[in-house]
Amino acid sequence: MSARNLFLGGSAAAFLTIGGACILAPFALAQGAVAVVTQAQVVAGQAGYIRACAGCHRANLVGGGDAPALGGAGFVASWGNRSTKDFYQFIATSMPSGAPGSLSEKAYADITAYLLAANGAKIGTTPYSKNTDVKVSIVANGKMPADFGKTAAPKAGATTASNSDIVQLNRRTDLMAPAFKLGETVHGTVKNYVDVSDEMLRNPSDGEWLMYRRNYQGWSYSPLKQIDAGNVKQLTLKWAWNMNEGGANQVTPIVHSGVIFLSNTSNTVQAIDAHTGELIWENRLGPVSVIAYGGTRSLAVYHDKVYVATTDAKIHALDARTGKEVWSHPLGNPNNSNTGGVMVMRGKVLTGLTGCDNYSKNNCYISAFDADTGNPAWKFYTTALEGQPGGDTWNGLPNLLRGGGDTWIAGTYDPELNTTYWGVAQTKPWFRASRKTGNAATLYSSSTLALDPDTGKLKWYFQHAPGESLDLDEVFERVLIDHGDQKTLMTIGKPGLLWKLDRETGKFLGVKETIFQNVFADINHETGAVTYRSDILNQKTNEWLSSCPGPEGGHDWQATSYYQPDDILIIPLSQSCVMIQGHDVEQKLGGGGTAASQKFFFMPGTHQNMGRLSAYRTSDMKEMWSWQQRAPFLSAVLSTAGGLAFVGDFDRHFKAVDARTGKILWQIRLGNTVQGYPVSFSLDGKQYIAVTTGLGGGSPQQKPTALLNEVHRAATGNMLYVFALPDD
Amino acid sequence: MTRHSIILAGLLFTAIPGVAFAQSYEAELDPTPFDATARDIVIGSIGDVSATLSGDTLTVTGKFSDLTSPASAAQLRTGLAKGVPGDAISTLMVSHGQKGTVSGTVKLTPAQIAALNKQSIYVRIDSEKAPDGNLQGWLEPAGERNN
Repeated sequence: MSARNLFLGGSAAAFLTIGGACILAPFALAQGAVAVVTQAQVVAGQAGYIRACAGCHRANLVGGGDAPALGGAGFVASWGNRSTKDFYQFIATSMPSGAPGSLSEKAYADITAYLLAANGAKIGTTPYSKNTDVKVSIVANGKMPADFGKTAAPKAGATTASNSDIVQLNRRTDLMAPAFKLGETVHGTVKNYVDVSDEMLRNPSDGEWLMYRRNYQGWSYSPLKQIDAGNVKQLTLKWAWNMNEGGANQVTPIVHSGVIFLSNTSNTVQAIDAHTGELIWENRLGPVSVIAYGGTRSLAVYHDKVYVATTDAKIHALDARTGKEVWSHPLGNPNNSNTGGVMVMRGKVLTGLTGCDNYSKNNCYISAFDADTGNPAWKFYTTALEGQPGGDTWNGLPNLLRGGGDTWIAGTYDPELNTTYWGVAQTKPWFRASRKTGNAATLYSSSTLALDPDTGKLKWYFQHAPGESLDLDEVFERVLIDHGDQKTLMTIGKPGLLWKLDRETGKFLGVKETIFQNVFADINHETGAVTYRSDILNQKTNEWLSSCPGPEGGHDWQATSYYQPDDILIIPLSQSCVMIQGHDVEQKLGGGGTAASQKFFFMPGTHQNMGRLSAYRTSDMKEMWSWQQRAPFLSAVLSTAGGLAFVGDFDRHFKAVDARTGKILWQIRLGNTVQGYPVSFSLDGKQYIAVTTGLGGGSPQQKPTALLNEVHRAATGNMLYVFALPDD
Repeated sequence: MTRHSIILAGLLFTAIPGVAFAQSYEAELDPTPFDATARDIVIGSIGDVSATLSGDTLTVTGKFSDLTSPASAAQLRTGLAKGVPGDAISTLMVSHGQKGTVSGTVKLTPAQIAALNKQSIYVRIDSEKAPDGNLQGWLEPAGERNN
């Protein structure tokens, strides 16, 4: 299509009705000078956008999480100087996240047309096509026409069947066709269930996996040793279980009383006989997953209940024997979510909050509930508020503009000190230039918090990266390790710095660079203070900055394992970089967001190896072994007293390595990306290894999907696999 | 590269004026940063270069392949740190094909030598479809790359 033809496109519009609703008028208010889209395309594109895109980018285009804004100044900054053809190509080749290229050419053209119109593009009679090639800023000014898009188009996850509790699973993509009924869909009773006591949580029996990282200290270390270096090659599959598709599958199987309590996407909880793989009960709490990232990473069991925090920011207590809901309570507002899961300590259920990227009257916090009744106990705001301690570290911004501080990984707990430790994610928007915080620290972002679990009172904090600006948060697991009388806490965040703190006082004890990084020009090894590279400190919006590592991390949610016999922390690391560009945001209710664009590249000096597995002795932080491979690791590490460490990767390999040397001893290729938290348990004297495969996720999925050209994966494949040695 | 080896490299160069130690460097050439619109243009392209610093003269040789369009230009560049793009120091000769060689001899200033020892110097190859960069690789002391 020539520019001349574009200008000849008519601006006259016809009235169109869908379901009796007049929808022309809002679209006809477009502001752009050139008409490159039609009314019909905009209508169809809106519906397509809601189905395939809005779960991540939000219905009002403001973006969220890893999904950038598709409207306003951010859109113009990203796309204004590029062509509509590029914009189409970007969408058609990379979207929807997790299922790129899965829509038809028409659907992509309609969605592109809708987005242009939502940014002010004039509506005419010449349809937009993939070959329409005009500078975006000529047709779209980033200003959404008043009342734009108030149509009868379906909302994300909306009901399409007549029965209101049946929704089409994962409307985001075409991954799953069958209808999906919510509620208690399989009724049964767990026989021989034993109530979980506080003592059992403090000292879990060798054969069980009662919480996220197995023990309160966050070790992911199993004392079981039947499977060892000498026999691991004999591991065989005992049974497998198909899990819900859609969403992000990043689950920890919880094992107690011979039962696996399993969280699935779409907020489904199941009890499965660990011997046989038989489903005992299922409760599909919903809502159905409509975004490709997030995930429900940990359940908790306590007394006679199973606890789950759902992606719609609610906490539920289910009867562990039957799956029936006992109580539930909202965690935040409708824009919030929960992905980190829950921990139970001293009779309280503790959980974090995510989805705090858009400006809201509801700042982010950690909260606690009475485990038996669900009564709220306390909240601790992870964005320090005006007038509170730390509240003066936000460059004078009002509470409304204090975004971020999400807690998307469950905490750990020291019963002796009666202290719980949580990591806090970065400030939002990602760029300090976007959020207008200058070089302010923005507490308590990118910090370790030590809280009293009874009251929520802050005992101490340590901020690892004041004023973080590149989506390199320090939110991940806090591992509690003693060296004689010294009680330490170790953690590693996206920059790949391994930190050691005194967990009684928060005093800095040491820091170690694990992979190449270029974001800090200086790291003070006496104090732990970091100094950002000069161009990061002097950043402006709409300028590209290099970040090695990028938002994939360094280290991400794929958790470490503390192999106690050798005092080593085995760490899955990733090696990739980005060019990242922060955008201007509207500083108002609903504004903000992560507000950045990214370009990906391999980390220099890695031979395009994205995955690295490394072991560090925690007493002196010395690297004991390390090796790299093409695919990054998408599972956490599990180590066992059998001298093994298990880990899985993006390219479907599940591996057992010698914990002392890192040598690969056994591997098997599973159906899809090995993603989640492998666990070990025993039944009747036999040791098992359970691991999940899964799709969906943020940067850890997106970066290798873009960079590893040769890796091809099926569009489905959320599963649970259970391995053991052959029966005698 | 460890901090000690960076210091050592600097000391070797500066300690004995007038004595030209030859220092060897190498770099893998990887695709330049891309989003979905540029991915198919640059992904899969690859190359490697080696370089020798003798006195203040850096000699670069290398090869590349699997471009989706012919190479059009190449430069030696410097940024704030490894992985950070920056300005061109000098042009390099490059074969105008989808595979070929890159080479050049460049006289470096003391500041540029310091940048080389900080691993901030890199080679970029442009192509017809990616005129602002198709391949890039930061020079590191030979034999010290990540294993």
